[in-house]
Amino acid sequence: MSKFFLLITVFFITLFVVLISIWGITFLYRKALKKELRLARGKRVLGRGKRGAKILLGWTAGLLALFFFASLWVLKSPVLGLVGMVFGFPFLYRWLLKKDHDQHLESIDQNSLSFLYALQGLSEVGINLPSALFLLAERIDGPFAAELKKSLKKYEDGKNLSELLEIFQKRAGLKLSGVYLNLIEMVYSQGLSVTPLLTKMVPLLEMESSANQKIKNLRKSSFAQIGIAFCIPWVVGMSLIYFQGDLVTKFLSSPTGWLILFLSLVIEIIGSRVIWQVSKFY
Amino acid sequence: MASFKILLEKLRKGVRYRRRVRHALMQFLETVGLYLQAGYDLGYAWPESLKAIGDKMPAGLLPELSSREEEPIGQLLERLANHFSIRPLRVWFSVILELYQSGAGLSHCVSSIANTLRSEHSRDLENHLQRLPSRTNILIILFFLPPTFLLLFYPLLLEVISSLGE
Repeated sequence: MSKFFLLITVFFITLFVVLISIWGITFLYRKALKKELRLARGKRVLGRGKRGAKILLGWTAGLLALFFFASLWVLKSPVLGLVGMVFGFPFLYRWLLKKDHDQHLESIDQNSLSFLYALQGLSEVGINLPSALFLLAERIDGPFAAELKKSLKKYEDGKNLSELLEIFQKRAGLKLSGVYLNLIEMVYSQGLSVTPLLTKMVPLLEMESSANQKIKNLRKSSFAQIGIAFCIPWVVGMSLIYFQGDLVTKFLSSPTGWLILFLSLVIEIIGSRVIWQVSKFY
Repeated sequence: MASFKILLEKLRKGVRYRRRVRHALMQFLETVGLYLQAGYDLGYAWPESLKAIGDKMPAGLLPELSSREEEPIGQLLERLANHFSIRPLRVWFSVILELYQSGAGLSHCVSSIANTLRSEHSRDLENHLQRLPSRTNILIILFFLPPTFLLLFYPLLLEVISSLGE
């Protein structure tokens, strides 16, 4: 019971340490974390939409990790627990937010195809490019439209469509779809029709997206195979602890035991690397 | 001698590098084709496309495709047709050069070349996806089965040896 109350106390001390360490270490890394801090400030935090939920998840995971380190401190080693708490959380926080930001950019790029399909449809109907862009940004769902809407808001500051699309391309980190969007705008500004261009562009983007998806799935399945294959020897080895604990003790106390463990690890690491390289397409 | 040179080139520029170059070239030619279809000429479309997607190209490809010292587009195409680093891709530049020199429309040609490269890319990807499972299985057997046997049987072997010793 006393350990339970001790853990609760440690939890609140951890929370206090978290707040102080975030302030202290992010103050030191302010430039590098500027983007992530912008993401975590204001409207994005505390549950607004899917991204808010992801950031909350990041915070929760970070706090849980800290609670783990705090428990480690109470139960085992104070030094390890303290180092883990003070330095681990801000790096975990930064890594989680950066990962979230990269995934957000990826989702914008993937969503661009459906947006351009819709743009093609409106263009064929006869709606001009700026009206179609504003209409779609306002009406349709998806990260691409949401991000475009934010960039188009600067229209009220007097910027023209070309500048707005450039701002959008920089914010969203678009790949091929950004190039095509600029080309459409260039053609429109020359007074030419964008419909034939869109009719050609959209199938190209679709083929590119389909190929990229195949490659991504390939990498994911390779990663899963490597992960499972890596764990199997250790799981099998650890099952010996339950069935033949004495054997494991003798094995670890023998001169060659640790050498065998190290050798197995090295072979597995080399094998993982080889499989990862072989699975790469380019 | 010719086959030795080809082998040397294959060793120097691995399969994955050539795939990256082919993919980048395919995207570049698709962008050029779109500019040409929009009504721009090759002299404008080529550098604009390079500016747009040059940063996504593999190292060495952008300087190769860029014009050197205000090189006219005809000379650039001739240089690429004769000296492009990936030999099988030189033929496409010679096709574009021939049509450019004859004054014919390039939009359809460039788009067709990009389509051909894309089909080749897709076929290559399908082949890679078909061959990968068998390769992965062999590598898993080679690299992960021995550690499994080591961790499972070595303690048993130690026990057997110590029992025999007693």
